[in-house]
Order: sequence, then C-alpha cells, then structure tokens
Amino acid sequence: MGGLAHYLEEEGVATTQISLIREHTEIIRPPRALWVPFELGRPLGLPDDPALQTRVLVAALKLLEAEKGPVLEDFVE
Amino acid sequence: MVKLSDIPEPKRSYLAALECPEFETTPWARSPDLKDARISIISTAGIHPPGDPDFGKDSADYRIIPGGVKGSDLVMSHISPNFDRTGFAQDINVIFPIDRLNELVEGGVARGVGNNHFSFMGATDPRDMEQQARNLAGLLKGDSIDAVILVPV
Repeated sequence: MGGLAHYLEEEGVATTQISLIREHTEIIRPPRALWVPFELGRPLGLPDDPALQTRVLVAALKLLEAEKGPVLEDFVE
Repeated sequence: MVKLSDIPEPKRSYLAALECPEFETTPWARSPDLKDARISIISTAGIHPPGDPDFGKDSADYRIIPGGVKGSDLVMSHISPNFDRTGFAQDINVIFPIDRLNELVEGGVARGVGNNHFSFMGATDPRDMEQQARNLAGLLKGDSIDAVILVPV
C-alpha cells in the first residue's frame, strides 16, 4: 500500500492512507498514513457502524492538510 | 489487534517476514484542504465489478470501479487467507468506504468524488505495481482528482 503512495506522489498525485500494520508503514514511510487498531480485513473498523467508519475516514483525509511529512498518526477514539 | 506482536501465530511470523520496499526519500505532492479536494479511493482488497477478470497470484494491474457502483455489487478475488472476510460480506464500507465518502461530499466536508475508484491485489509485491501506479496517476489527473485515499485490507 505504501509503495503505491510513493509512485503516485512522484507523479504528482497527493495521497493519504490507512495503515493496518504499523511496523510495515514505519519501514515504507509513505507521505501520510493513519494507523488504525483494527484487525486485518477491517480497515474502517466495524461493519454497519457508519459513525466509526466516518471518523476513521475523516481522520485519514485530514492528513492531506499536513504541512510536511512523512506523517504517521495513530487513530485514537 | 494493536501491533504485529499481538497477531496470533502463524500469521504473525508470516507478516513479520514480508519484505517491505524501502525508499531513500518520501515524495510530497500538495493537496488542497479537504473541503476543496476531489477524492478517489484506491483499495488493495482485490475488489471489482463482477464482470471484470479476477485477480490472480501476483496480479500487478488494477481494476476500475465506477463511482456510481453499489458496493454490494462488487466481488473480491484477493487470494490471501490472512484477513477477515465477514466484515466485507456484511458491509462493503468496512474495506471500501464509498458510502462514507459520498456522505462527506454531500455534507460539504470534501468537494467531490472521482468518476472512478480503483483496486489492486494487495498480495502482490508493490514494486511490481510501479508502472501500473504511474499509469494510474495519469488517469487520476485526467479526472481532476486532487488526492486519493489508499485503503489496505
């Protein structure tokens, strides 16, 4: 996932992403990433919980407003 | 699940041994503020419309997901057994937040949603996806996309 971010950004497309495995993201160092404490297969949290999904999505998208990076933030409820 | 160390074996050892690409620098493309941004989603869950070819082992290409698609109409051909599939089966937004993104645009939190979204097969080495990703950047710019959100599975 983070590798795609590098290639897209080099072509001029801004990216933000969700990270499920923090250790991998720390190695790849994409420009903007939000680590979430959810199990693999559930990057937005829980099914049929739109409020949680929205909080995760907004937290990841807000990283687009960061002044500089790489940014790796933790999602905190 | 909190960290890699919390994942049960044998999955933990498998994931810990995965080779991650390393980059000397981190590129930085500017995005407008979220309220002014037109966004597309890129998933690595190997999802696609049912009429498209399935992803195979080491597939490095991507599938186009039309912006107006109903999430419940998408299928998944990702090959990995290492992630939960029950959440996706119940609610596509747990891996592909299309309804949530559309709601943010309707509410004025973001400016717009791309005409299309995209999916890769996440089990493929990302270095093999480089050319396809650079090609995809052209499509995104042609759709006036300001930024993408990358969602793993």
